[in-house]
Amino acid sequence: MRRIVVAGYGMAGHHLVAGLIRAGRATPAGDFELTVLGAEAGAPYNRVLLPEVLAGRIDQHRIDLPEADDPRVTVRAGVRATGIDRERRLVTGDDGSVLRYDALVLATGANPVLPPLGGILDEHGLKPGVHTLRTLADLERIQDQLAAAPRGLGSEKRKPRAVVVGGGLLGVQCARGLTLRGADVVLIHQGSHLLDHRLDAEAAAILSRTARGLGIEVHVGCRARAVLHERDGRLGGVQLADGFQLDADLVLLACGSAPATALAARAGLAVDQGVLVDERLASVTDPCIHAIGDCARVRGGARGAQGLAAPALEQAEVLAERLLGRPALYQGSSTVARLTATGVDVAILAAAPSLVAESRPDHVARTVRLTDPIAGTHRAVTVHGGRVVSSVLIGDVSAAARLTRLVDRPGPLPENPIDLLFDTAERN
Amino acid sequence: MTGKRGTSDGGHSHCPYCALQCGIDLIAVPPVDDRGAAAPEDAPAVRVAGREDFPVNEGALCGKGASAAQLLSARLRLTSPLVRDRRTAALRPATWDEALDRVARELSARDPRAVAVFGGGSLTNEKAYQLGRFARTILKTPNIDYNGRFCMSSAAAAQNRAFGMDRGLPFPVRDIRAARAILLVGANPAETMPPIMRHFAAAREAGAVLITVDPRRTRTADQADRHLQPVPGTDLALALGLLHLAVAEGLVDEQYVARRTSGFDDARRIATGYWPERVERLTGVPVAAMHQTVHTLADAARAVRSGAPGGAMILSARGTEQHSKGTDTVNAWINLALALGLPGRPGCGYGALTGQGNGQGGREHGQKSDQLPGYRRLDDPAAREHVAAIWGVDPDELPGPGPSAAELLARCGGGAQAGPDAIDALLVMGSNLLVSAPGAVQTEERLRSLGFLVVCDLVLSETAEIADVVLPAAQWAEETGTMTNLEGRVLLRPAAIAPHPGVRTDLEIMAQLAGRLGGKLSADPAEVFAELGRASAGGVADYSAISHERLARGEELYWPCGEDSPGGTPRLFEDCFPTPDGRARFVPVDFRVSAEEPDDQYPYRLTTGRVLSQYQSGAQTRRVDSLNQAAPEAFVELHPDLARDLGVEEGATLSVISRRGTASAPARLSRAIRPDTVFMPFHWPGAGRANSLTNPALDPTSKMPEFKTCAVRLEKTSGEAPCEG
Repeated sequence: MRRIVVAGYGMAGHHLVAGLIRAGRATPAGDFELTVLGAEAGAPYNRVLLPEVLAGRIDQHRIDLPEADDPRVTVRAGVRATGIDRERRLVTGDDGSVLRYDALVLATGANPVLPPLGGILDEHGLKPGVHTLRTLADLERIQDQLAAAPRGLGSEKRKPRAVVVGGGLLGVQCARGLTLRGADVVLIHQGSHLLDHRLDAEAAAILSRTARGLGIEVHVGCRARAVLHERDGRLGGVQLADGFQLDADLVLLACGSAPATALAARAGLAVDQGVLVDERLASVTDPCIHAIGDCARVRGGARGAQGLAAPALEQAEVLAERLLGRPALYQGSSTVARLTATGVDVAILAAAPSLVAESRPDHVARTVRLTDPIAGTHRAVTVHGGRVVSSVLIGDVSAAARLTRLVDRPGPLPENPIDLLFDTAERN
Repeated sequence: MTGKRGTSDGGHSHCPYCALQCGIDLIAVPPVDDRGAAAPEDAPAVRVAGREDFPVNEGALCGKGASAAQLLSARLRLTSPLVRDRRTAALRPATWDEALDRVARELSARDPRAVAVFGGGSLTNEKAYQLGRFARTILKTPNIDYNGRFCMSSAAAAQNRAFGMDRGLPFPVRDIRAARAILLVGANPAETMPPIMRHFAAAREAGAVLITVDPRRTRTADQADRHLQPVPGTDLALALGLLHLAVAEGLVDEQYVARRTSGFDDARRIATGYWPERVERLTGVPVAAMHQTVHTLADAARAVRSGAPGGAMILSARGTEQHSKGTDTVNAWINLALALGLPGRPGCGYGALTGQGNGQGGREHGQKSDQLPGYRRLDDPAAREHVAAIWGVDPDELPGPGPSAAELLARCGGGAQAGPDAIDALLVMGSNLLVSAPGAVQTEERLRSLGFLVVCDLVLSETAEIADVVLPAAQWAEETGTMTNLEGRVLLRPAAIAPHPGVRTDLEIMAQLAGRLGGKLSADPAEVFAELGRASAGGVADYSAISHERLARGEELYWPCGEDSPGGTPRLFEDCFPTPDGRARFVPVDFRVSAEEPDDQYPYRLTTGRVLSQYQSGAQTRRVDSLNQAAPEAFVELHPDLARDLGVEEGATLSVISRRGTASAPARLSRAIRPDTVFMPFHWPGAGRANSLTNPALDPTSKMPEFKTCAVRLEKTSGEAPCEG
C-alpha cells in the first residue's frame, strides 16, 4: 500500500485528491492510502471565487467544493504541516501528529506579500482594519468589518471608506468588489499604471478610466508609507509617501503573493521563488517529494504564486497520473489572467513558453490592436509563426473564448489576425 | 385489408423513419393514372400523404417521409431469401425452407453462448419483445443487444438514474409550443426530424427564445435565436458551468429542490469548481453567452411559477449523448433542469429527442442485454419470475445479463484465436452494422470472420451483403405492429397492403425458426402485443392496458398505461418521480476529457452526424432516387481557415485518418463549423465511411461508444506531401 501525504488542501491539493480518487477507482495502482493536511479549518472551497463573494455576487456558503468521499482518503482540516524528515520520510503536523509517506506532495499555496508599511502588524498579526484576501477566513474578517457600519460625526450611518493598496489583478478586483458592497474606494498603486506587470500603459489607461467610471478613485505612481490607527486602536487612515493622508475604515493589501516554501526550505529542498520541480513535478532535490500549484516552480518556467488556478489544476492532473504510475509530464501552461469584477472585463493571455518556442523562427511577430477610449475597449493580439502568442482584451472580452482555446492549443487562424479580435463563434 | 394494387383504401399509418412517427395516410396508387398511363409493374401500390389530424406533424412530412412508399417497390428491396454456399461463393436466391433450415441448423449446432442476436430500434414493439424472448428462451443465449446502444442509451441511462424512468419526452411534443425558453443540446432536428421544427417555430412566434448547443452552426442553429458552439466533448463542462452560474446568480428554484429532489448539495459542490472563466477555457463558449443562457432559462421558469406564460425546456440528442461520458453529460443537463425546477412543471422539463423510429419502444421490451419486457431488469429476481411465468419457463433457465452492443461485436469472430467468450454465429435483425457501428473497419473484420451470419432486412444492406443467409423482411405498410414515438405515445401501424410474396414478416421468421428449433412463438402481432402487455404489467413501461383494438379506435395512449393508469400518462412527474422516495435525483457528475484528445499526431477533432436527406446507415434512403440525388455522397466539412492551412480547396478529396482507419471524401468548406473540428455524416459505406474513424471507447454506464469526437489528421489525397497539423 502506497502512502501519499498531501500538504495543503487549496485548489491544487483538492484537485489532486479528487483526481486520485476518481482515477484510482479504475486502476490497480489505485491501491493507496492518502492523508491530506489542510492548514485551513472547514470544508474545501474554491479560492478563485473569493473576490466574487466579496463583491456579493455569490453566497460565501456556496463556494464549497466536494469533500473527499473515499475510504482511502483522510482529510485533516486545520492541521498545518510543519516539518519534513526526508531521511525517514516523515511529515509532522502542527497538532503533533507524525505521518509516514512514500510520496509527499507540497501544495501549500502562497502567502500574501505584505508591503513595507508602518502600522500594519502587531503581535497578533494584521492590525484591526488591515486586511489581505487569500483565505475564506480573510474574507469573513473583511465582511465583518463592512457589516460593522461606520458612524459619521453625527452617528448617522455613512459609507465605509476603503483603501486598496496594490493595482494588480486582485487589487482591481477587490476595489470593484468593495464598491459593489457600498464602500467608497481608493485604489493606490505604486507602479506607473495598473497591472503594470501585465499591461502596457495604453491598455492600462483604458482600464483606469473604466475603474474611475465605476466610482473607484485610482492613484498610480503612488506609494503608501504607513497605516494610521486612532488611539483606541481603530483604523484611521493611510499615509502616503507624499505626506497626503487618506481616511479609511478598511485597508486591503493586495501587493501580490509569494510561494509558501518555508516548509520545503527547512527540509533542504531547492527553492527559488517556488519549490523547484522538474517536469515530473518532483522536487529537483528529492524525487519522493512533489510540489504543485502556487508553491511550486517548474524548472525553467514562471515563478511560483502566479495566482492562477489553471496551471495548478493542470499540474494536479499530471501529478495524479504520475502517482498512479502513468507516464504524464507537465509541459507548462499557457496563462490566462481574467478579471471577473462586474463592469471591469479584462483577459490577458499568453501562450506557454513551450508553445512559443516552437513558433517558426522565420516569421516575425505581428501585433494588431484596436483601442476605443470612448467605449472603454482595448483589444490586442500577437501572432507569431502561425500561432497566437499573446492577447489583451479590456472592456470587451467576447473574443476571449476563441483566443483562450488558441493559446492553449494551436489551431487554424484567420487570414487576417484582426478577425481574432471579434467573436465570430457567437452570431448574436 | 387487401394489398391488391388500386384496391387498397390505404388508411392511417405512421412514417417508417424517425422517432417522431409522423401521422400519414396511405393512398392507393391506381394502376392507371389520370392520363391513362399505366404505372410501372414494380411501382409501390400506395403513396404517402401527411395526416393533418395527427398533432405531432399536422400534415407536414420531410422528404424522407414523403418518399417512404418507394421502398415498397420490388425494384429497391429484397424479394427472396439468399444463401451463400461457401465463404467464397456469391449469395444466391433460395427458398424460404432452405434458408430457414440452414439458419436453424447453424444456430443449433453451436453452444448457445457462441450464438448472438443483434436487434434494432426500428423494429416494432412486438418484434423487439419477441426477439428478446427468442434469444433467451429459444436460443437460450444471454447474447442479445441492439443498435439503440449507439443511439439512445446515454439519455436512457441518465434518465433512469435521475427520474427512475426513461421516456424520451415526459410530455407531448406539442407542449414545446408553451415553452418560452428552449435549450437544444446536440440536437439538429431541422435535418434529423424536420416536422418537429413547426413546434419550435410556434413557440418562437409566441416569444420563446431558442438556444442551440452544437459545434456546428447547423440548420437548426440557423433557426435559433442563439447558438453556443462548444468544442466537441466538452458539453459536460458547459452544463456544470451553467449550474454554477444558476447557483451563483441565485437562480435555483430552492423550494422545488427542497421538496422534489435529493442530492443537490453534492452536485452543486462539483459545479463550484466550474466557474465561468474556467468553463470558457474548456469549452470555447464565451462567459457572456453562458450568462445569457442561464438567465433566459431561469426567467422562463420563474414566469411559469408565477402563473405567467412561460416554461423552460432542456432537450438533448445524440450530439451530447454519444460520448464515452454521455450518461454523465445528460445527467449534468438534467441537474441543471432540476436546479431550475423544470421537470414536472407545465411547459417545462428535460427531454431527449429519440432517434430511430421505435427507439423508445425498442428499448423497453427486452432486446437490451440487461433487460426484460416493461423496462424490467434482467438481474431482478422478481422481474425474472414474472416474465418467466408468462414465457412458461423456469426463471432459473433465463440467461443473465449479456454483453452490450459494442462489447458483443468485439466478441464476434476471431476464428481459431477466439476465447471462450467468442461469438461465432450472429443473427442481425434491422441493423446495418457495417456502416453504423463504431470502429467500422474492425467491426467488419470481426463480422467477416464469424462462422455464420444471418441478416433479416428489407434491402441488401452492406451487412446483408456479407451474410451467409439473408432473410427478406416485410415492411411497415405490409404488416401490423405498434411503435412508441419520442413522446412515449404508442401508435398502431396497421397492415395496409399485402406483403410482397417473396418476403415474410420478422415475427413469422422468428416463429418459423422457433418451430425448427423445438419451440413455439406466435407470429400474430395482436397476440404478441397482448403477451407483451402482460409481460410489462407492473413494470416501469407498463403497456398492459393498451391493446391493438384501443389504438385502432384512435385512442391516444402514452405509457405507463396499466391497471393504475388505464387512460395512459401523457405527462410524467407532475406529482412525483418513480424513484423509491418519489424525488428526482441530482447525480453528482464531474467533467472528464474525451477518450481520445487531439495531439501532435492527430491534431484535429472529428465529429459525426446526419444530413437531411439520408437516414441512419442509409440502407433505405440511399436507394430512393430523390433522396440520394439531394445527398449523394459523404463529405468532410471543414472551416476555410483550416482548409487554407492545409491547402485544400472546395471539392478536393480529403483523407481523414484516425488511429482506427481512414475515410476519404470531398472537402466542403463552411464557416458553420469550428476551425479545430471537422464533420462527416455517417450514412455511407466504403471510402466515405465515417465510422471507419470513430472511437469505440464506451460509456461505463450506458455502453455508448464515442461517436461524436475522436482525434484525426487530414491529408490531401493528391499524391502531394501530406499536410501536417
